[in-house]
Amino acid sequence: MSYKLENLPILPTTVVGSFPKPKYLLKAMNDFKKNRIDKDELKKTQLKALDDIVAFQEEVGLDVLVDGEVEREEMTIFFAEKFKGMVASDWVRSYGNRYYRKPIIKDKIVLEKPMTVDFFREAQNRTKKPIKGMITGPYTMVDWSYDEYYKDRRKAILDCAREYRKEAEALRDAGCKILQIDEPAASVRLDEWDLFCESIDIITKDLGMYTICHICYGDFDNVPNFSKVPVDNLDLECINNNFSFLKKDLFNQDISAGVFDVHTHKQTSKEEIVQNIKKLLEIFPKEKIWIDPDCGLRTRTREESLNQLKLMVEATKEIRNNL
Amino acid sequence: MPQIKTTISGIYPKLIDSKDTPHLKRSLHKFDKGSISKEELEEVLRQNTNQIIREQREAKINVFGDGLIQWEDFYSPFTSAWKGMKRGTLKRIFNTNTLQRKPIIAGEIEHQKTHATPDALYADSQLEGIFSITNLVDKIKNFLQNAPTSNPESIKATLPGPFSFSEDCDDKHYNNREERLNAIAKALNQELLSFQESDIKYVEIYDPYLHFINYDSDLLNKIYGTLLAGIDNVKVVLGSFYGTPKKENLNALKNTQLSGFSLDLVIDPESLEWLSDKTPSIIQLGILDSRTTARDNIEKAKEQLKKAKEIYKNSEIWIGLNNSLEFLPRNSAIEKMSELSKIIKDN
Repeated sequence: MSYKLENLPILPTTVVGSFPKPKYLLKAMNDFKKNRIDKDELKKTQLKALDDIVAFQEEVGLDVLVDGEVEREEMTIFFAEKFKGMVASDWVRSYGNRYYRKPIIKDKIVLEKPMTVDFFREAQNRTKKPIKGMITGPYTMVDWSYDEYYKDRRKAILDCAREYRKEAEALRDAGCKILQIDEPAASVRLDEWDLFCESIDIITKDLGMYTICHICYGDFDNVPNFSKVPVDNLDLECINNNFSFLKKDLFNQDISAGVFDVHTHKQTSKEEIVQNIKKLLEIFPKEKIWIDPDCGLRTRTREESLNQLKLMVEATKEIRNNL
Repeated sequence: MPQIKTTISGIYPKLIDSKDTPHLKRSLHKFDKGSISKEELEEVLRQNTNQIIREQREAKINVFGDGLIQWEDFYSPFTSAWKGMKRGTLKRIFNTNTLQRKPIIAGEIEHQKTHATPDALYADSQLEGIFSITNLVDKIKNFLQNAPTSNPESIKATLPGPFSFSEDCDDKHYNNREERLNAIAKALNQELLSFQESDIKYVEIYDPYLHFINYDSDLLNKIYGTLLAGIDNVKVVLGSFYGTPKKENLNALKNTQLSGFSLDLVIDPESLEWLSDKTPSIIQLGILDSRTTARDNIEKAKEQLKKAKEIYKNSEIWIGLNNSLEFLPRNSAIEKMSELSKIIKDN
């Protein structure tokens, strides 16, 4: 992979994708579900939230921004409700007191129309900085769904990948330069690593975008071949793994490295983040490193996210100034 | 002919959406924010547990699980209560989309007689303020007193097994695995002894790493010996969860005080015969798939049960799903539980 991005500083800062949803947005989403407001009213509120989230990221000083997933209830169900062939089940627990509606594959997966382009455009119209397009990858979509149709993981994953390719092209045609594919499930069945890579290749091959794959909470020590993932950048949860698995020879891609844990109220100090970035610089050339949190910020409060991201950006700038 | 019973294992789907039962998720959030009291939350938990029992009764389950709705994961009650332990960062549970807190061993593990400190029944986690229980025996006693069942022998409690507890730990204290295993097994033994003092007759051990790792047989014997020391009134069944324990591990554990063994016939159907040379008091069969909403092959399950009856003529046979029901949405979990009695009926 070799798509070159322009006008980014050394050690670009970004976030994985989700942000805490403001209360007014949660209320609107709930009202919409209960038919108390219509789709237009919901979209107005989502756009207001988008204003806030883009401004928030500008205030923090991030280099590559996201739409904050303001229109997504959760990373799989958003796509499941848009793909033909998938539906939502009832709630299933994720951890602690957190739950998600797990998708069910009931029929062949088909993309009927672009799913994320509208909000990509809306977000990009609000900033001069690049906005990442973001999709939940085919491997994770299938792995985190109940499959009542294919009953063959390979067929389901590759079918899903082919439909996502259309989504990626639609994003590219809308002016999106960076595509992030979220694949948290990729490293939990390592015997399927080749299948996972094959599915990513369907989406990224000759796409003409800078591609990132985010992977988290898996068995990183035993991943057979990180460099086989056909993307420009691997975005990995590192702080929670204590950076132990990172070795220069294992990667040929750029690395986005999580430098603070997103699943705790405890704040990571600027000094700790500086140390974490220094660890990365000992392993990789500075041109290959991006800085971000370990995972999405949806479970943190706005204040926690703001404080922690500001520290992350300050720490990065401090390092940059001394390079 | 062997006696056949239905059962469930592990954690029950927590979100109970019933007109008569308060919403557990919302109540836990309210408790975290301090807008309801500990007593109010306990009442919510009690009502939810009762609902879980009602649902099992309606599904004609014979050996009830208490649902573990107060557990965040299989280790949280112990990492919250035992001295020397803390709760760490999140870790994915095998190939699921469910995460658990890594237990951190920060010092010498010391079992806390939590039933002697009822005020410490519930504790905030140090990290997130998430509700967790620290008093297993009081919880079970409360459950027995309030649950709509009058037969305590039909209750099966759950404890984590020493090998999986040890594998999932971040150990900052012990110098080697055996020391760590021994400390964990001793502390878990205290929990088992507490069960023995109560009315609990069955305990299922959650030790899924026995499916993935081939352990030294002497070590297995020693550690399970420590775990089960002094246990004679409680029947302890080794669970399966992510697949039948490896054949070598089962062989090593055959002669311990374990009363029963589980075989996961969804993931490892060939394991049905692995204990044919032994007559365990209880054989538990994971006969339906708890990881998919797709309909199970009931005919295949019936066939497996038929074979099990031939092989384990002198054992009590329990049939259930092959993992926690919480991997299913509740409606699907109930549907699958109900299938179990139909499988027995046709046998």
